Amino acid sequence: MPCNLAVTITKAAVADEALRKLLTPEVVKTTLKNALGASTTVYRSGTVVYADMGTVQLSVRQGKVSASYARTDLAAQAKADKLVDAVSAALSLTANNVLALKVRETLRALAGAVETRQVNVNDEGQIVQAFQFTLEL
Amino acid sequence: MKVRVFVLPGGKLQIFTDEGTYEEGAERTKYLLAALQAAGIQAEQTSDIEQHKDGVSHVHVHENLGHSH
Repeated sequence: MPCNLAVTITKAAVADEALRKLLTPEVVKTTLKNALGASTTVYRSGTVVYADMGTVQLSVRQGKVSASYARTDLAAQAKADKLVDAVSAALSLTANNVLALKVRETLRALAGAVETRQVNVNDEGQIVQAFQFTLEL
Repeated sequence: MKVRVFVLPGGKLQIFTDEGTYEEGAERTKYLLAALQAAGIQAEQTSDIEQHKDGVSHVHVHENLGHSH
């Protein structure tokens, strides 16, 4: 695809810690339910969200996932590792989606109409999915 | 001025201004970044405000998956 000739290009980033702060407990609960199955027992205690997965209990504190299990149970350890990876990936995706929504809200407040597209982009040799917002400023 | 903002995985953003002069584009970009910060989005600049003609690396749209307004 031909490159549109932009005048200026600027890169920015939201640090991981700031991204994790976008994950409210209710958003975390929904993400866990979606990732682990609607019948999974997911509950919150204060700001921590828990999921009971039989021999493994997951907890999410400030967007970070950890697992509790019997240390002598090797099968549970393997299960815990997979669950932590899967849930961490799901939370990363959710945090990025929340970021995109907040960016769009901000752009709408600035410019009114914002065209939103989901696109695949070539980012330094990797094809990744991104949100593209186009506005008049 | 037409502006495009990409939100990439991992909290990365790229901001393109597509019209006007470099100075106008730079001003709009700074204004936009300040607006994001004011809205509580802690987007920190990770590059200078660069000119496309200088060959700086940036995303290229590979495929359009759908749009809304």
